[in-house]
Amino acid sequence: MKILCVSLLRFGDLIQHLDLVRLVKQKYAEAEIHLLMNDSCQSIAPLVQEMQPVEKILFFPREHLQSLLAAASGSPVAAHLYLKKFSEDLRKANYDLSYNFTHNLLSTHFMQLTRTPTSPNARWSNYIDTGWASSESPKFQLLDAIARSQNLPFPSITAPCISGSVHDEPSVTLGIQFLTSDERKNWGLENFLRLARLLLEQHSDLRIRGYGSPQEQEEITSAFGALVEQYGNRFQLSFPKWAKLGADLAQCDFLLSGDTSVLHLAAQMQIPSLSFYFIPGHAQKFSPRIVGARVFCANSAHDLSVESVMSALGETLQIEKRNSKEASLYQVQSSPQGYLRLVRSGDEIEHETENLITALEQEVWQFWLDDRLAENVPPFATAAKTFLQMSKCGPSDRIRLQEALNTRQIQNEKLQILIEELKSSVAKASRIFASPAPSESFASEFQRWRVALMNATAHVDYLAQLRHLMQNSQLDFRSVKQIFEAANEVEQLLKIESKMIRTAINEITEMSERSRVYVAGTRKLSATRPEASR
Amino acid sequence: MMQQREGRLLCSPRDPRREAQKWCERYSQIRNKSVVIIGLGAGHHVLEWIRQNPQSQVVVLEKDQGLLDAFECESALPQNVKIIAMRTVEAFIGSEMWMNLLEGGYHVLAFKPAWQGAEKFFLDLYLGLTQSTVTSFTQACEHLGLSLSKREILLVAAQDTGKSFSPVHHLAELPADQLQKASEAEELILWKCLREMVK
Repeated sequence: MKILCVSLLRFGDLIQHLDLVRLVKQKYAEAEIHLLMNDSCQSIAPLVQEMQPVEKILFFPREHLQSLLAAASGSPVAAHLYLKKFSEDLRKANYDLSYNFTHNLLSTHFMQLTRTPTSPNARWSNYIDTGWASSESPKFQLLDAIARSQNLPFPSITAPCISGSVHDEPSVTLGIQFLTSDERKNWGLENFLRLARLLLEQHSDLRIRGYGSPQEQEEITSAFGALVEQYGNRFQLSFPKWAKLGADLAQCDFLLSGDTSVLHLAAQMQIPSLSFYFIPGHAQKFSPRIVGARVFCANSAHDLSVESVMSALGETLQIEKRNSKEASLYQVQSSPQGYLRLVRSGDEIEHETENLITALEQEVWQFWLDDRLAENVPPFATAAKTFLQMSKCGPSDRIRLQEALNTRQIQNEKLQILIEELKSSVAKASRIFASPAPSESFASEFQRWRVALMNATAHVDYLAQLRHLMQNSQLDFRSVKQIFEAANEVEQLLKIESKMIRTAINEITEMSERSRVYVAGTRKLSATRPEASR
Repeated sequence: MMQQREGRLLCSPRDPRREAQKWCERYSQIRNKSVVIIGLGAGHHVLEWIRQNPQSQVVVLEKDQGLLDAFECESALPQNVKIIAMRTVEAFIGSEMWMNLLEGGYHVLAFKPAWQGAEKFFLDLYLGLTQSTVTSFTQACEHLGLSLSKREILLVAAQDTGKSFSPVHHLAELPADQLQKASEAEELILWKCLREMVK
């Protein structure tokens, strides 16, 4: 059996995708696996083979095609023919199966050309298409979602190497990656400079290795030159090419970075990290896959102070802790089901609530995306029930879960009233409108709405959307009839869900009652024990 | 070596080597790739290109057999360089060699000092390989049996705002049913792939 794995993004993504190649290898132990990656990643092919051996590495000629298309010396027809020949050659290789880990338009089109059989999971694929395009934060780390979209299990999350075991020296070496290729993700060299100075002043046994790409050497050297001179071998700068970065990072006990490619490589090497994300949703999507990794989420680089980073580094480097107010600190954990979960650090009640809601939402989505429910049943209450069974759920969690379910129940009741209103108005409208067919735009919008309804989890006012649709569309008799049917469908779904919510609440209440009886019972028992009375 | 055509010099009379170096610098972004050089002239630029890009596969297209003979007499060429003399452009466009050069993804480099006295010939040759005009693009599509009709290409050209004709974005937008043959959906997917690369 011959399998083609496709990873057509950049270094960091490719390094992450190796986990998925590993899963394919586990699933088809006897298969010959070929990995297709961009020609721009050619330099790290040996590193790839070292981390996850495959039978063959192929290179997609992206850079060459781009140069043919962009340079005056190139030609679109030459690019067309070159790509055609490349895809034909792949087709001739007769792969039995292919896995596309890339999830972009180019790779989707290209996979069509290769005509190799695939094994996609439609729900997860659609979820990536819609969830990742919107500004809303998706519920899963991208690699988890990609794995499921290819019908693979969740990839494992690395356990960190215990600090100090990386090398035999007593001092701690902190690696810092200063810059990223995206200006929005940069914390700023001046912040790093202040942080490095403070760390070196306060910790005589600390060493820092500052990293940058060869292209960034001039900028970084000019910013940190004085620090290098002042601290000698306690503060060193390194500008390795990607292929050599792994070997260099091996000298570090801990990494601080906003660049995801370096973070993913460090995670593969079991190096714990502290990272920061200044773009909403990116932390959940691109967190390093290593248990315990700490993650700062802020709306911009200005919101993350040097003091906050010092505080978060505290545990590893034994630095005095200070409260972080501007940015939120999270920790990477593995959920009981195996996907990555970001957990808000701190013991404040609102942090616990946020963690509970995140966990519940992930449960709901996984439940739905894995298609583990009977069709048409809203997944919220069922997922809550599963969450209750599968997680270590304490009494306070149960109370909050009950509150969440109660809120959902209230929402359902409100929706039901609205549906009644809608149905009566639609019934009136149906007598007024009598044109033969719905307009095309209405039909497509209605279809979208219907799909959204079927995928509904919580917190979406579908009836408001429907009202909007009615106001903005040219209604005709068939459209009104469709709305009426949809309203009936919603009503049915709400009834089923309400029933399930009631059952879940009863179970939670029962569980709470049982633990109260148990506590009271034990006390009573100990008070009446003969030994105690003696 | 100072070659001439119709009394006009085919390289700089003062410093042909410097001229060749400067010409190579213009193409620094396509180092060691396969290239077609249009115009042999005195050949300084070819030698300089090979010196700077020893791994590059080079095909030189020239009009005058005499220039080719003179150059081969004086210079020992490595195996990765092939010089071809041709009399007409018409016979070349659509030929197997033309097809191989396109399919091989060769970059096309114009050495204009060597075009002196035969400008139209070399320009046609250049356009035949780069398709940077609507006419040359249409011709290439016809030769290659691409399903785009002239009408469609003109429609695409009307949307193109680039200096030279760069149709990738627009071709990828063509609805499949506008293509001449439904079986050519693959052709459309290829344009879509290429569009993603220049976005």
